Amino acid sequence: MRIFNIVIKFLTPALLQVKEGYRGMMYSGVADKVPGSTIRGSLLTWGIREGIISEDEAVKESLSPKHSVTTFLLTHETSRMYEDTMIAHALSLMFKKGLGNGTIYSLSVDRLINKYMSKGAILTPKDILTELINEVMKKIDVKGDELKCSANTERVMGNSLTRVNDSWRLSKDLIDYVSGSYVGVGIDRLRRTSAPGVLFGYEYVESGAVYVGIVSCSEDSVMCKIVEALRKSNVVISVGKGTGRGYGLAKVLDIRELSPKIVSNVKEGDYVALEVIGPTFTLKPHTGTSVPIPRPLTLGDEIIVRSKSGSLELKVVGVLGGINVFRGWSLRTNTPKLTIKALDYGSLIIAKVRGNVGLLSILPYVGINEFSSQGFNIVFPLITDFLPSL
Amino acid sequence: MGNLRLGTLLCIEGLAHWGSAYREPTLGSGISMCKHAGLNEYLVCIRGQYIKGLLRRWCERLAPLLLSRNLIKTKEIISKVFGPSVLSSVNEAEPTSLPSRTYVGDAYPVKGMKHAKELFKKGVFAYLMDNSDRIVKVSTRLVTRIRIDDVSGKAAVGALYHEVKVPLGIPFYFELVVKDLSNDELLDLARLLLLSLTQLNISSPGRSGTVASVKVVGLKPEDLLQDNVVKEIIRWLK
Repeated sequence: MRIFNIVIKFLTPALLQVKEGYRGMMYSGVADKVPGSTIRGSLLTWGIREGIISEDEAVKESLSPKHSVTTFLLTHETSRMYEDTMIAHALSLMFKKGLGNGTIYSLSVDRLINKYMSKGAILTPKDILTELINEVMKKIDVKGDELKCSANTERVMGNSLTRVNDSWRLSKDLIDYVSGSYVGVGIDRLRRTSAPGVLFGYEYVESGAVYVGIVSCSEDSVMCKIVEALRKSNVVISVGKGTGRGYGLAKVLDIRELSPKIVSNVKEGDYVALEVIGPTFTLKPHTGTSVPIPRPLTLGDEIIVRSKSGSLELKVVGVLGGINVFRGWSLRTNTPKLTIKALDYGSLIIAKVRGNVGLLSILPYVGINEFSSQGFNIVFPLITDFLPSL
Repeated sequence: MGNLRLGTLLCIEGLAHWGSAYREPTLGSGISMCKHAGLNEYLVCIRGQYIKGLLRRWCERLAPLLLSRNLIKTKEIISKVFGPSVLSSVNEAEPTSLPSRTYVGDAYPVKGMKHAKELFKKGVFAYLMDNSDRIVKVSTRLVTRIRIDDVSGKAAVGALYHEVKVPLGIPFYFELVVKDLSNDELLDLARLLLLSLTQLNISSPGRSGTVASVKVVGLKPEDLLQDNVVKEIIRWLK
C-alpha cells in the first residue's frame, strides 16, 4: 500500500457541483472541499487521455477498486492532509467575538471519550453532549461575559480547517480564496439568440484555490500507475464540470509519499471517536427489510475492517453530527449514481474497539470498505482532540 | 489517434464588449474578468464558453457547405467535439464514458503575435502560472449609451445605460485542444475550425458590434499544414 499526499491548484475557475436548484437552473457548488469521487474521476480520465491506462482498465479499477481517495480540502500550497489540514468535527465551535479571534475550539473529544470510558454506553450521545455543554458553560462563566451569549458561538462542523502555528482556523478565512457565481443564458440554435426561459447560474471557485488530499493505492493498481505518472511531469488535470469550456483546470503542485501515522494507546475494549472525513454509510438494511439501501451509521451498527493480519470490529455506541444526501452522475454508465444518505463531513462516531486495534492507523487512508475509492467511508480516529479544548 | 491543438489571436479593432453579468446595477452590463492564478489579480478575458459557442455556431453553419463540396466527410465531428446538439435526440449523443475531449480555454490579453507564439510553444498553462510583468493588464472604458424610442425616434425616457468596453488594439490569445481524433477527423476538424475562424473576421465576435481580426498562431499536428485547403485558409488568417 502506498499513500500519496497530493496538492492541486486551480488555474481556471472550477465548477464543483453538489446540488441543482429549482428546475436545475441554479447549480450550487461546494466551496472548501472537492469530493473524492470528483478527484478519482479526474485522475482516471487524465490517465486514459494521456494513454497511461486503457478505458477497460479504468472501468475494471472502478468496479473492483484497489485505491481510496479522500475528500480534498482547501488549504495552502505546502500543506499536508491530517497534519496542517483537517475537517472541523461535531464538537468544534468558533466565537464570533471575543475569545480566539477566529480560532477554532472544541468541547473536547477527550472528555467525550472519558465519559464513555467511565460510564460505558449507558448514556445516550444527547445526554453526554448536554453534560459536556454544561461543563463548558460553567468554565465559560468564569472566563468572560461575552462568551455566555449563545449567539456568539458558531458551529463550524464540516468546514475545512488549516493549522497556523498551534491554532486551527477556517481555511476560507485564511486563504485568499473566492467563490462566486455567474449567470448565463442558453442560446437558441435556430434563432441564434438567447432562448426564452433558459437562464442558468453556476457557483464556482475562483482560480488560485489550493486543495490537498490523499490518494492511497496498492502497488499493482492502475491508480498507482497514474499517480506515478503525475509525479514525473508538470501535469494539469481537469476537475469538475465544464472542463471543455475551460473550467476546472488544476495544476498538480506537489505529490509526497507518506507513511501512515501509527495509532497507539488504544486497547481492545476501549472507546474511540472516529471523525468522518468522507461521508460514511452502511449498506446493512433497516430492520424488517432486505434491500441494502445506503443509510447513515447509527447506534448498534458494526463496522468490520478486514485485513490479512486479522479484523477490526467497531461497535457504534454513539453518533454526533449530521446527515446529508449525496448525489452524483456516473460518466462510466452515463446515468445518475445511487443517492446516498450518509453521515456528513465532521460527524463523530463513537465506537467500542475489538480485534486488531492496529488497523485503526490505516482507516484515514484506506477507509472502512471499498466505497473509500469514491471518497466515502473514510474516518479519522481521534485518540486525542487536535483542537484546543475549552 | 491524435490530438489537435490550435492557437489563435483575436485582435480587437474597435471598442469591444463581452460578458452577460450585471456586476454593478449602476454600471450596467460588465465585462468578464478572470482571476489570474499566478498574479492573483483579476484580468480582462473572454470566457472559453463564449468562444466555444461562437465556434460551434460557425461550424454548424459551414458544415453543410463543406460537405456539399466534399471538403469534410461528415458533420458528426461537430457533436463529437462540441457535445451533442440540443436539436438531436439523446441517442445521437456520443457514446462515451469520458468527459469532453475538447478544451477551449479563456482568451487572455497578450503583447502581440510574438508573445502568442511563445505561449503556443510553452502551452497556455505556463501563462496561467506566470507572475512576471509579461502579463498584460488591460484598462477598460465605461461607455454611456441611450436607447432610442421606436415611436418617437428620440432618446427614450429612463433608457440611459452603461457598458464596460475593452479599448481598441488589444490582442487576445486562446487555445483549443481536441484529443483522441482519427486522421480523417483531424483533417475535417482543422478545415472546419479554420474556416469558422475566418468568419469571425466578417462577423461580430462580441456584443454590441464588436469587430476583430483573427490570426492563427499555431496548429498541431504539423502534418495538417501540408493539406492544401488548410494551407490556403491559414494564408488568409495570417
